Amino acid sequence: MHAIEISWTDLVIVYVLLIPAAVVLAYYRVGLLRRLSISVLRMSVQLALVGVYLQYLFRINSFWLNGAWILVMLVVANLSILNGAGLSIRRLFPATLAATTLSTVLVVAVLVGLAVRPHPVYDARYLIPLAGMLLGNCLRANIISLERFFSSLRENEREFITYLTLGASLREACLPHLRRALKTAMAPQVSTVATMGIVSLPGMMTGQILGGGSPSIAVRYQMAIVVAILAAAVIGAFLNLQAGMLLSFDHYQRLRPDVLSK
Amino acid sequence: MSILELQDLTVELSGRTILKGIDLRLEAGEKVVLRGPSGSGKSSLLKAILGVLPVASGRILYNDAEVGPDNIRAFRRHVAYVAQEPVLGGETARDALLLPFTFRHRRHTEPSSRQIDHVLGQLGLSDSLLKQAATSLSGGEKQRLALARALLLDVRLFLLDEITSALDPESQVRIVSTLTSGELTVLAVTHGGAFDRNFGRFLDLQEGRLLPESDRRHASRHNI
Repeated sequence: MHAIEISWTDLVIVYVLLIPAAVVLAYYRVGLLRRLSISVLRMSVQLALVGVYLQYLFRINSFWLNGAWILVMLVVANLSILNGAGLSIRRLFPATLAATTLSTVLVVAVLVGLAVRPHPVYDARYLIPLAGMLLGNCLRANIISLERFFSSLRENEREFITYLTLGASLREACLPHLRRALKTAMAPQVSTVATMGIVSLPGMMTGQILGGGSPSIAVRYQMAIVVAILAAAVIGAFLNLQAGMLLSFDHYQRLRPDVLSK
Repeated sequence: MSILELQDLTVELSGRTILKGIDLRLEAGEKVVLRGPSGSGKSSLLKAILGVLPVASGRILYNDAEVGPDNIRAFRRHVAYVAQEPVLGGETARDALLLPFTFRHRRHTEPSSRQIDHVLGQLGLSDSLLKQAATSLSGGEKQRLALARALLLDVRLFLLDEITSALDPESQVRIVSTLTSGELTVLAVTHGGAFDRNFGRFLDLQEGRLLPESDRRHASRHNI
């Protein structure tokens, strides 16, 4: 079975849908019109380029090239996490990059290396899309957890000080804020998982089916990727929070002012 | 021997000097009232002593040893600090009371029921209060519960920031009598009340500076 091809002309028809969306945003002066236009433009250019790039990547299928591409994805994702969370790139970048890399490598190793087992194991057709899906879906959890953690510390400064002055270690004083951050970051993902297949048909599964794949295989891939995303999101958010804690306080356990970028 | 000494302590916050050249010596067992108009730096002084606010210059000595990054945690474990609007933490009043004993360092020093009853009794709190949700307590109950928690820590140096602001005169007297009866060293920020009548020494802060001893009575009459 082959997929029905969408031509560039067909794509333009879909893009027309953005006109009523833009009219609503403009009419109500939501202030998002410019950002929406730039975002859609960026998405279109990036995906078009990636489409071309992936063709070459799949053809060459080199361990080093695939690895380099994943590294680029990790660096961009990490920049996006720190920017999204309003944190200083200069202070936190190396530590959060290590945390994001560790969680991604760990989960990708299990998913691709042990479950999917392509030949070779670094086969770009499997490694790149799966790693990309993992990173893309974990991005939000990482941003929310870091943003919430530092916001909670600032909003509940008296609580933090009380814990320290009652004899808590830095880790113990941070614990309520860490819990809040992880809960806020993970609750929407956990809820989405519970309704998957009823309320929403996940993108990867739908994509495989539209691409002519067997629904039963598509479903198994989807289950694997959902579990992997959940695991990577929790592990990644946790490691990022640990990295944040490690570098964000001075010797008196006070939050360093230069941790926050805004 | 002094238990706490501040030498030429200066604290700056966001480029503004909020405490300037503070020299202070607390002898063991002394009960000291710290007074001053709002914004004079009283609460900031307590926070600076605890290492919560950064010290621009000067030294803090505890039992003649300088307090610094290496021993700040150990120092905090020897001090009881109670804020005007204390954060209780925990679901119930009992959770809040025992919060410090959930921390690794204090886990082995959890007080007995007898000790808890004794401290609650001293402050006029009944043990039935412990079952209540911490958020349901009144301002006065919160202040007394926070002080009870501090008393259970079994430390000798108390830094108190207007801890009787929400209390009736009878409860204030009860608290002051608890603090004065033992060997505790107390530095209490207050705006008058039972502390003034029972504590032996008064310090007056004005615009971030401690007034000289001879000016203190004058300042307390005109500015507080």
